[in-house]
Amino acid sequence: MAMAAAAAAQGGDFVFPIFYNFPPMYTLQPVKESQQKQRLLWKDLILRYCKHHRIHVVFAAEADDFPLFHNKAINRRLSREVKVLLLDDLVRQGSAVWLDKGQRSALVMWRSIKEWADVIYTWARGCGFEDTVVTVEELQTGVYVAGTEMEGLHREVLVRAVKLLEQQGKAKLFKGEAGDDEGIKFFTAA
Amino acid sequence: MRRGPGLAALDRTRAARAQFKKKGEEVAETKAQVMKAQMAHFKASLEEFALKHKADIRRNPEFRAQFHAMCATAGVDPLASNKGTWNKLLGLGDFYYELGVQIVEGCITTRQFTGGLIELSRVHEYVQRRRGSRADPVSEDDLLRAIEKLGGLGSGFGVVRIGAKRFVRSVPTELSTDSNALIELAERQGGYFSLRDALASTKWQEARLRDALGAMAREGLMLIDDMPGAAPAEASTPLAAGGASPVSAAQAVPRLYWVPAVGIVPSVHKYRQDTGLDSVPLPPMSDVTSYVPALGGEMAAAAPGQARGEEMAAELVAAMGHTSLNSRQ
Repeated sequence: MAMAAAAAAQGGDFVFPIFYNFPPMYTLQPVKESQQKQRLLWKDLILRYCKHHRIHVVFAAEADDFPLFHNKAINRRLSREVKVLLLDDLVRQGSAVWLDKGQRSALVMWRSIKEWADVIYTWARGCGFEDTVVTVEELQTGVYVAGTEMEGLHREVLVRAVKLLEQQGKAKLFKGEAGDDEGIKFFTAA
Repeated sequence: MRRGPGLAALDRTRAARAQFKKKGEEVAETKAQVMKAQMAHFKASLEEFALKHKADIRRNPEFRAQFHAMCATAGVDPLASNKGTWNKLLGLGDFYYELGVQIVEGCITTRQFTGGLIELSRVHEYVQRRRGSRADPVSEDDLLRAIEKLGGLGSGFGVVRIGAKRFVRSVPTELSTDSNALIELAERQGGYFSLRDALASTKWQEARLRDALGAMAREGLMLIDDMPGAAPAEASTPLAAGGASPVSAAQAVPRLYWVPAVGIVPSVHKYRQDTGLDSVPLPPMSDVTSYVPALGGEMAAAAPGQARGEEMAAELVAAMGHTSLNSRQ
């Protein structure tokens, strides 16, 4: 029982690649080629892990206890420098965006903005929301998104995706009167 | 009165010599014919034997090894030709070809960690897993035979003995004796060692050890590991340029050197036992044969989710020489 609980805390049913349990993978390798392979492996793992657990924001702080970066079974954790380096690799390939200048946290996009835009638009049409205003909050936590992929979607991702839909002429983002509740109006595609 | 050697005597000797020669040739001829007949008979018996025990040869790795030994004694190579009687009889050529592909695949899949060197038993494990439990078992002897065939293509594939173990090499580098000594040390220690361990074991000067470690790291055969709590200055020591940090710098937590060729999974288990971490549950880990899409680079542009690189491995084997594995005749 305790084993199962601990396993669930670590990663649930997520299956880790073998390298995750290999201690030297937590030290940045000084040899260039080894380091490149190491960073490639981690980059892929971060994306897969976040996708599996539907995690959108990853923190780079030293003390942060994100289970992916702290493997208790071998007593190894990634330092802040390595986390920043890995997240920066993701940013460079367009799979992540730093949320602040201090590089404390990054938005990890295991699905591209374009894909999210498609998901949102398909959802809106499926619900019959053309020419209707939906609030951003409803898109994240509303009854219509419950159980769908969009549930709990990070606001930043959502806004970026809607802005893309705006460019495509499929939606329009409205600033709400209160300032913090933005609304989205969906259009039928021309 | 004795006469000296005359012409008649000379003629007599010549005639005798010619007769001896003729007789000798006759004897040799008969012997050769008898031998030929015996060989033909033996070969036929061997074929008969092979045919009779075909199923055993194919299914039982021990029996197969003994059969190979018998063939070698008789000077028959059952793998020499794909078209020959032997192959028709046993189909062993295809068997070893398939095995060769699986070995190449195993080496490539693990190469990202190992720097192109991997213990034979690890490859064996990979191949067994890859073939599945329903396939007939293969032995290390089979692997060695298949690798020998791969080596014939001049691709750098080969088996090297280090200490008590055999390793499969998939990159054409020569290992120095110092590297060998350190790989052997890692093998004995279960996959990793500290600088202190290495100095005690090798009795080398520190500079020599530093050079050897640096060389191994550059080859990708060794990875460094600084446990949490290691001094940050040490963690950033560029090993490639300067080698290991001096032992004299007293550290609470020593840097560890890992040799992945020994096998990652057993090394990790050993480490967890040594450090008392084996009570902490290990997160669910993928199988050794699972394909790592992030490293598809080495396996050409495989789309993520593509099952595995068997075709690519086959292509690789084909690219290594313009021959198939069986066409050596």
